Amino acid sequence: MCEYSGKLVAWLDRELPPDEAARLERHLHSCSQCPQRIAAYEEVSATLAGYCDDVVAASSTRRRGLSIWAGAGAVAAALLLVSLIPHTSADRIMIPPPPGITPPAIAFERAHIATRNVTRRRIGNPKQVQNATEQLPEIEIAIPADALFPPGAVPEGFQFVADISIGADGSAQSLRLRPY
Amino acid sequence: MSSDSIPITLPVSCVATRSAEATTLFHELRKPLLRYLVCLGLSADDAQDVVQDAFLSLHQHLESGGSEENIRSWLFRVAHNLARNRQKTYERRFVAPLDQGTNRISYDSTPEQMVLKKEKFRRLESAIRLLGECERECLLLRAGGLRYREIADVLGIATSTVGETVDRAIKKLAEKCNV
Repeated sequence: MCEYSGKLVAWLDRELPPDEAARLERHLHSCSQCPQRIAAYEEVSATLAGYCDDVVAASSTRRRGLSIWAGAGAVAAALLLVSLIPHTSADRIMIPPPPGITPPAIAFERAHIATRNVTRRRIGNPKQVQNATEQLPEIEIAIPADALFPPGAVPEGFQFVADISIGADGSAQSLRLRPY
Repeated sequence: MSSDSIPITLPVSCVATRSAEATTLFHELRKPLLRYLVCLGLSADDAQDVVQDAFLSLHQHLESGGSEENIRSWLFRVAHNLARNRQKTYERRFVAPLDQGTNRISYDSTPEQMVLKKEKFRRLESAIRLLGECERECLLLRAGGLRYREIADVLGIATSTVGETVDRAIKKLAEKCNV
């Protein structure tokens, strides 16, 4: 076995001190085995790098496949739920209630919200309210798409805008992503 | 500029610089970290979680005035330890059936090339299973582009030990893979 055989991998990784590296490089001109070993170690390293890429890609593909199935499952569950809801409830909303009967709770809630909106608009001058809305500070939060989605699911550089509804208590009520 | 603005300006600019540094590190190291963790055996979801937690720790570390020296190995060490805490899934990759791993379709290869590549990966994976844990970790960190000194920092071993371990592991793989 060549005396330099224990230093070939370190030389490949540029981890040898300069003087030792220079000695090994001079040795390579005269040795028949070491260049072959270096070629073999380089190939193993390249195969390992390709293998790692492959494992990562396979795991993200599995994850994406799982997401698709989970999404399909959610849609199927939603459809099943809709089909199980009695049609009478939908009919009740569509048919206006006869006079003298208390309207359904949902209709009352809508009316209540509408009244509140109207009241709020009456507080100030409409122009002032509009200006105040326009001057609201916009908060921009940059979230890389690949932090939300599996690697490769979203093209490089693709961005989303998140519309966030904030409730009266300051909590986030809903979040909707749309392409930027 | 008034003299009393200096104490306010300096910390803000300092925080901004550190925040920018954390962002740069995120762009630079997120993918190598994910690659390392998935190859160690974490699922893609777990790996994403670990990377997120590691960068959160980095942010807290920088915010609290922590050292910026060897920050790359610091980040890998945090991720490595977090992965260790998820020990149940940590070994999964190397006890799972071979077929679960290398099924990616490469559109730039001929069918023959794909078969050869798959066969090569099979042999490599079998050889990796025969390695010791430290050998495997050293190799994967090396594949992630870390220097021996950084690998030593991550694993808490001497740099000379990393050199010997990498050398031994590469030779074992070359022998088992008939390269």
